[in-house]
Amino acid sequence: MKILPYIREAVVNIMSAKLRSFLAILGVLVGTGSVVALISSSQLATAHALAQFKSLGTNLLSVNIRDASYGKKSADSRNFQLSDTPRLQKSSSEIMLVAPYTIGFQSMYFGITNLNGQIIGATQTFGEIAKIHIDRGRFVSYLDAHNFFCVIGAKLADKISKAGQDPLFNQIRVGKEIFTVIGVMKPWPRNMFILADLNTSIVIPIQAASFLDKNTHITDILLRLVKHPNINLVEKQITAVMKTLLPKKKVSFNSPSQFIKLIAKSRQTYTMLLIAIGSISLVVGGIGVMNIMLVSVIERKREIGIRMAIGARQMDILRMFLIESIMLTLFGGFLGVVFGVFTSFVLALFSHWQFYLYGTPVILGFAVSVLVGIMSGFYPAWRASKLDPIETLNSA
Amino acid sequence: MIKLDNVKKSYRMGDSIFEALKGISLTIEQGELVAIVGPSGSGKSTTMNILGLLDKPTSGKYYLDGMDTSKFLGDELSALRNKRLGFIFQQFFLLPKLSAIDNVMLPLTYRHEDKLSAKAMSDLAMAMLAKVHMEKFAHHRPTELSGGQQQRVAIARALIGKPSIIMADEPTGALDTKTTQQIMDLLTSQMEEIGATVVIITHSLEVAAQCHRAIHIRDGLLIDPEALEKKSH
Repeated sequence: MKILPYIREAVVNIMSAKLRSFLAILGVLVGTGSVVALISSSQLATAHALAQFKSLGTNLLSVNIRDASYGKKSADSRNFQLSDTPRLQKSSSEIMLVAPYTIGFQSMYFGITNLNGQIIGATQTFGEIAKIHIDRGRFVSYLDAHNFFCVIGAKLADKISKAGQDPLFNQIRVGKEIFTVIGVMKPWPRNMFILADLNTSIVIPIQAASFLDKNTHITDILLRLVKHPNINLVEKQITAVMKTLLPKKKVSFNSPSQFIKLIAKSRQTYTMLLIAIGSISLVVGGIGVMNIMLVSVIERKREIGIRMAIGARQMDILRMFLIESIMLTLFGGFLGVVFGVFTSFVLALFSHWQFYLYGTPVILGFAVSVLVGIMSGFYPAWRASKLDPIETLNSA
Repeated sequence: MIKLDNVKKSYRMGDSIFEALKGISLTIEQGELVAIVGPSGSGKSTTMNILGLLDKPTSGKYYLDGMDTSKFLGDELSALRNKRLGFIFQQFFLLPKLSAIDNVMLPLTYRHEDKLSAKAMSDLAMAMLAKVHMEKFAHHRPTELSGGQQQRVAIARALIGKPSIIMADEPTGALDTKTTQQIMDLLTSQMEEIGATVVIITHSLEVAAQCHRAIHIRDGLLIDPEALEKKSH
């Protein structure tokens, strides 16, 4: 069976009524377009979210320590101490690096410039795990101990530069104390894993942090594990150690793999919703195409009669109209795919996401439009094939 | 060869039954040029539809080239029409969106056994157009052609499948006298070339006069025109 002449004829027919054909496929265009745009942009968003972990690595674990009963601070509630670090390190053989850190707030000034930001008390290891890169100067080290040194985030450095000063080796007032800037960080990609934005923070030695504010305690610990860790096991082992160290505290965990699972799950619901919306517009679009095809069959009764008289079988007539309907929706689907990909491209551009052209939404878009063509074209085509040649030849 | 044996055709119209053909028997030999003449409503269109395998008799038999056509169904009838019959209509009935050559080729595209390549089909269609002196207009649409030119293309379409019978329904009904003669000459010369039988349904006595014989139908029955004439005198 040669399909090419049928396609050629279908295209001739579609092109001979351009405006009507375009209106007929508008629904399919919008339906396919929205499905492609939404799925493509959802994939781009997921890729963007996952890219955060790609730079950090997925073998991370963060531990959060808080009071077991919220609000009621018992006096004997012991906090995690820097000296507990070796104990934690030994709790599991899968732990490679341990970096406890503190997060605090103090007023910060460079001269009269208000530096709105967080104060992270951290060790040298923190810089390694969080992949902090230094632009100039150096990161805090174990040797800094109680020294009032700080490393400032890229955005804070910009603020100071704008005030006409070089931040490096200059001084910042933090609360009542004076800190010397020993390093400037490169811009740091934010992620959902480390909640503080290091770009607008200063990092000070962890010992200095507790010195700066007596109420600052270690509430978070960042861990790097072996390459393919058994996270559940590690979490159990840490929980056991923490129970003896900090009996009154509650420990919770976060890991990139948890986030990835969460993203995948939320994307699933999102995708289902999109498919529902897309299906509705495609059904409406399909009804539009069916309508146009029914009109076309009525208008072309004479043609059907002529074709039957010179030997077209019912199957030939059915195929002719079905191919025309598929070509129509495929054309709409093509425009829809272009429109959808373009929309997701624009969205990525404005959201500062990396743009990728994914195969799935494109293939899905085409497949769905062909399916709509078959479903909405079959009934009109079947009706055309059942027409009586005598009646159709005599029709006006 | 065509043989009708006591063919009757009736239509149900509401509660009543309308008998379009009341028992027609006739034989048309291969290569004959026959006119079927009769006033409107006489049953000549019904006869044409039955002879053209577009309709089936209510009773009686139709033998086409010795085959009992009542044994054929649906797609077999389509194939039979495609292979053995050629149609020419009063209003030409060319497909308006196709060029002349594509119109001529159409019957071949519906031929499912011994299917030709696209190239062979278009060569054959071009040769056919040359025979009706329309090769210069091969890529013109029907709307760009005069009535006579359109009918020439329609004749090429009817002939391309080398049919044994050509059914022509008022082939010159929409044409002027001069063009009518040209079309009739073309039709007769071409039928002789391929040895086809031609059945022309017509009102026109001039057209009927050019045929080997005329079959007269009135009220669903064949009549002898001479007998009718004698009766009226």
